Amino acid sequence: MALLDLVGAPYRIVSIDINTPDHPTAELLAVNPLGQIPTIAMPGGRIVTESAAMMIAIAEDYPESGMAPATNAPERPAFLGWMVYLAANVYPAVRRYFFSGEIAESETARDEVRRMAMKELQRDWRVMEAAVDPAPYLLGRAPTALDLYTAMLSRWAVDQDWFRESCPKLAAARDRIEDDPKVATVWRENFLNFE
Amino acid sequence: MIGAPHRLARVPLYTPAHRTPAYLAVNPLGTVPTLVLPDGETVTESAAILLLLSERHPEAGLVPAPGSPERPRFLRWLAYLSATVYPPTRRYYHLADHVAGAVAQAELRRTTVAEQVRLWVAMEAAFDPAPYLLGDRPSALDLAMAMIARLSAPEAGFAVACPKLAAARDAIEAHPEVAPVWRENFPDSAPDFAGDRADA
Ligand SMILES: N[C@@H](CCC(=O)N[C@@H](CS)C(=O)NCC(=O)O)C(=O)O
Ligand SMILES: N[C@@H](CCC(=O)N[C@@H](CS)C(=O)NCC(=O)O)C(=O)O
Repeated sequence: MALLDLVGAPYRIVSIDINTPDHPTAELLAVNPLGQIPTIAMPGGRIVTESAAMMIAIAEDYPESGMAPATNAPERPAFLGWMVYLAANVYPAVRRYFFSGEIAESETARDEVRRMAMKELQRDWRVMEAAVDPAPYLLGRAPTALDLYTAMLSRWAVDQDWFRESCPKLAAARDRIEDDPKVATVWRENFLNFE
Repeated sequence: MIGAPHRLARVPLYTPAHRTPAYLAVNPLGTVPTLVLPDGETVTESAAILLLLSERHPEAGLVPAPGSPERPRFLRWLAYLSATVYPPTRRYYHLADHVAGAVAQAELRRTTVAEQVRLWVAMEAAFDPAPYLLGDRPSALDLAMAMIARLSAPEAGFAVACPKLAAARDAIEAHPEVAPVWRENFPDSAPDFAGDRADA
C-alpha cells in the first residue's frame, strides 16, 4: 500500500480480517489458494501473491519512481538479494512465530517453535544489520522498495527496543523511510508500535 | 544455460568443512548456494541468483523482462517457491532446529510433509505446462521448481500428487545444459530422469 502511494499508482483496497472465524473466505481463496494476504490484482486482472513478488512487480511497472534499481544498476544484486532474503528467511520466521499452531500441536511444542522462531528471526536481522551500510537508505541516496519491505517486517514480532539496540543501522534507515508522510500514514493505520 | 564463465567452489554440507569461518564470511547463514560476482560482491538466495543471472543475460530468454505482461506471474511463483515452499522443504531436514524430543519431532515431520503437499497441490492447479511451466521455452521458474521438488520429502509424493509439475520437472531435467548438473547433484533421483542417461 505504501509502495503504491509512493509510485503514484491508483488502487482500491479490500480489507481482510484474518482473525475472524470465516477467514479465509471463498472470495480470498479464489484469488489466493493459500488464503493469505497480501494479494493484489494488477492491471489486466493479473493476480499476484507473495509480498516480495508484488513489491518488485509494482516497482518495476513505475521505473521512474526508482523504487526498483534497473536491471543494469550496480544496486540490483543487493536489491534482489535482500528482497528475497527477507521473503525467504525473515517472513517465514515471523509466520512460525505467529502461527506456531499450524505446525505444532501440543502447548509445549508450540512454545518451543515460537522460541526457536524468535531466535532465528533475531539472527536473520543481525546478519542483515552486519551487512548493510545505509547512506541513508539501504541501497544509497534514494529510497527503494527494500526500505519499505525491511521497515514493514521489522515492525512485526520482534521486540522494538531489541530491534533498535541490536540493529541500529537498520533502525536508522527505517526512521528515514518512515519519515515520508505517505509511509507514515499507512504505518499509523497498520502498526500499533509505530510512534 | 546463459553461457556465463564461472568457477564452482563446492561446500560439503553437513561435514566439518561446511560451516567454516571462510564460508560463513561469504554467507553468514551458511547455506548454499552463494554467488560471487566478478567485482567480488556476493549474492545469496537461490531465487535472487536465478533472477539476477537471467536478467543479465536477456538473450537466454530465461525471465520475462521487467514491465512485460508475463513478469508479475513469473515473480509470483518464483517467490512462492522460495518464500513459501522452500521453508518447509528445509525444515524437514532440520526438525531439531524447531523442537526437541522424538515425539514433537515426529509430529513436526508430519505437519511439515502435509504442508509441502498442500503447497505443491496449490501450485499444480495453477499451471498447464507445455512442456515447461511458462510454455514452450524453459525459464528460471522451471529450474527453481525442479530443484525444490527434488528436495521435497519423499513421503510428500510429489510426482504422484502433482503430475503436471512432475512432467515440467522431467522436461527441464532432460535439457542438455541441465541434465549433467542434476545428475551430479541429485544422484538418487537419476532413475526418474526422462533424459538420455547413456553417459551417466
Ligand atoms: N509468503 C507470503 C506470506 C504471507 C502471510 O504469511 N500472510 C499472513 C499475514 S502476515 C496471512 O495471510 N495469514 C493468514 C493465514 O495464513 O491464514 C508473503 O510474503 O506474502
Ligand atoms: N533460502 C535459501 C535456502 C538455501 C538452503 O536451504 N540450502 C540448503 C541446501 S538445499 C543448505 O544449505 N543446507 C545446509 C544448512 O543449512 O546447513 C535459498 O533459496 O538459497
